[in-house]
Formats: sequence, C-alpha cells, structure tokens
Amino acid sequence: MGCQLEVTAVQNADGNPEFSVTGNACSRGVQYAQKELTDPTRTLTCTVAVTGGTRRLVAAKSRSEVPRDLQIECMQIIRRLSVQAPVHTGDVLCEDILNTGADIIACDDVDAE
Amino acid sequence: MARRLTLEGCDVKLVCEVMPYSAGLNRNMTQCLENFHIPLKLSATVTEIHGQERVEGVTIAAVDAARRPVPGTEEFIECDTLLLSVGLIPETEVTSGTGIHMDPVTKGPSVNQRMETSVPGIFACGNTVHVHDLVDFVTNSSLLAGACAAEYAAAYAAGAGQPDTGVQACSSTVSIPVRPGDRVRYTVPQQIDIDGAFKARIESAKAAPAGETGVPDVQIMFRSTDVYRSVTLAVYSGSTKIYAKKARIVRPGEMQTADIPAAALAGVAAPLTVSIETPEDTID
Repeated sequence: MGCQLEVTAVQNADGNPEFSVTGNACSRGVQYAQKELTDPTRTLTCTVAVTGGTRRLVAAKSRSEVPRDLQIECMQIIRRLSVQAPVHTGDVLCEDILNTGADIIACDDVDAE
Repeated sequence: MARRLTLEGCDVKLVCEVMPYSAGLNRNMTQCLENFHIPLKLSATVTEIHGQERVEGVTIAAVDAARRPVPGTEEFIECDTLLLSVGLIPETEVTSGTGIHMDPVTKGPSVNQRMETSVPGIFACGNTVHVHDLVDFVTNSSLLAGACAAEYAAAYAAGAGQPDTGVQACSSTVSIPVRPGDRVRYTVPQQIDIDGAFKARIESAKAAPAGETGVPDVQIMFRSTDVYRSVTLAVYSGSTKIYAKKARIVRPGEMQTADIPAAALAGVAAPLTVSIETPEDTID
C-alpha cells in the first residue's frame, strides 16, 4: 500500500532545488513529494473544551493544512481555547490559527445542557 | 498514540518495538514518529518498571532472534508513564460456542470468498475475520459480506420448504482450500466455494474474447511473514501458477491482495497456495 517514492534533488541555475521523483503510481505522487520536501503540511486534529454543553469536549480539526512543524505550537493555543455550547459541525472555533490561513472547526455537534 | 500524546503536550521519549521490523504503516512511522523526532528502537523491550505510586522509569534491553532479552544490553530510561501496545485480535464473543471453524493464525473465523463461515448462513466481516490496516478496507469487507448475506437470504427464502442445508451445501459445490505458502502468514478467504452459478461465470469468463481482462471475482488478502523487497506475489493451483504480481516491497503490517479474475479459476481443483517469491528463488 502506498508508493515507495525516491526523490533526487538537484540545485538548478536559480539555486532552487528541482526534484526528480520516481516510484509514484500516479501524478499525485510527484506533487506530494515536492510539497513534503519544500513545505510539508498536515491536517491538525484535536479536541476543544466546551462549556455549558452535554459533553466536555468537541472533536475539531484544521479546515486546511497547517505547516507540519507548527502543529505543536497550534496545539498550545488550542489547549487554552474554550467554546460555549451549543456547538455545530463546521463552527469556527479559532480563526486563522497562528496566521497559517487555517481555521480550527468543530467536527461534531454538542448540545447546550 | 505517540503522536497524539506529543500533540497533547507530553514528551514521548521512545517507542520500543520487540520485533526487528515495525508492524505499522510506513505512513505512521514517518508522520507519527520521524516528524516528531521520536526514536523508534527495534528488537528491544521493557524488562523492568520502576516506581511505587507512580512510574519513575523503565529498563529496556535488546532482544535476540527468539525475542529474549540480551543480558548486558540494559538501559534505564527515566519517565513517568509507560504505554503498552499489546496488539489486536478479532473479537470472538459471537463466534465462540457456534462451532464455527476458527483460523488459528488470524484468530478469526475461516471464511470463503463470500465471507461465509463454515456454518451455512453465518457470515463474518471486518476485524472479526482478520485485523485490517485501514478502516476503508473494513468497510469494503462489510459491503461484500452484506451483499452475500442478502443473496443467501433471498435464495433461502425462495427455496423455503427445502431441507435446511443452506445454499452452500449443495453437492455440486466444489470447495478449494486456500493456503499460505512461502513467506505468507495467512490468507483470507481460507477457501473458495465454487457452486453451479460461479462455475458458469468462470466458464463464460474463460470463453470471453482474448484480451478482455476479467473483473476480479475473488480477492485473496494476505500478509507477509517479514519485510521482503523485489518479490513476486504468486498464486498456485497445485503446481500451476494462476496469478502473479510483482511488488517492490512487502511488509507484514501492510496487507497484500491478489485479485483473481474468474477465468483464472477455470479447471482449478487442487488447493490454492499463495506465496511470496524472492529473486533468490529458483526460476522454473
């Protein structure tokens, strides 16, 4: 399952790396490899505290991907968040976290008590 | 868990794996361990836990080929939490006591290509049959079992009043065992039942114009016993090869599939063996 990608990086005339990718079964592999090596990002999944709700936590995630190496710092912020019930799937719990352009949104509903 | 604990603020010092390879997905090793700089120590295990009211540390040691700790390789690791991952086996609460034949390797019921167990009319799917790598595959398994169970129920209802022998027990059904061969730990299904309808489909598939690839009728899932590179996944009926596919790498933690088109099963009577052949094997 998955492809074993082999990537060779060569510095081109502008001093920027150019990547040659092999082992991919489709074109997505080429884009994925280039992105992983230049600007790796991840969808961040987490939970956010809820006040006044039937549950204490709501499952949440970043709507778009955040830089891989910013995940821990994003979590430090998310850990201090608290939202008031009711919460609905898709509600923005934190807008544009750490200027990444990604909103943290609720993945579930939580009713008010 | 290592990744989740790290994201939630813990300092995960080490993941210790007793086998010489990780049974996890490559994706997880990269995205959960490497990306968070969590070391993965293979062929190592915890030999002692220290502390009274609270864990204060653990002693780890290297293990030999028989997974026994090697004296003199002990190392103390200061920590306050130890998480044990003890493996996953199929839930057997429902199957036990039913007389359903269980596979000693998968620890789940043996099934045929319709996900039917050895007891006619009882079907099994998902992680109760064998542990899957992704939930998507569990869903596919359930779709297949559901469709086959519905077919069985409809046929049973249509034949109401007939002796209670079930669709599978008619004398024209040929049962072909499927066995793990070289470097294969187990296969699912463990047998292929060819009844009249399936036989007809096989014969018409065989007669189809050359070049028309048959829609795979049987998907055999299996796992390798170790990590192997540049291999051929092969299915034999007796000594006749009926299927072959090359693979760059196979891992025990990543399930393989052999999609067998109906035409390939024409005339098959001998048990099927699924093997992984390495470049060193003799070429016949």
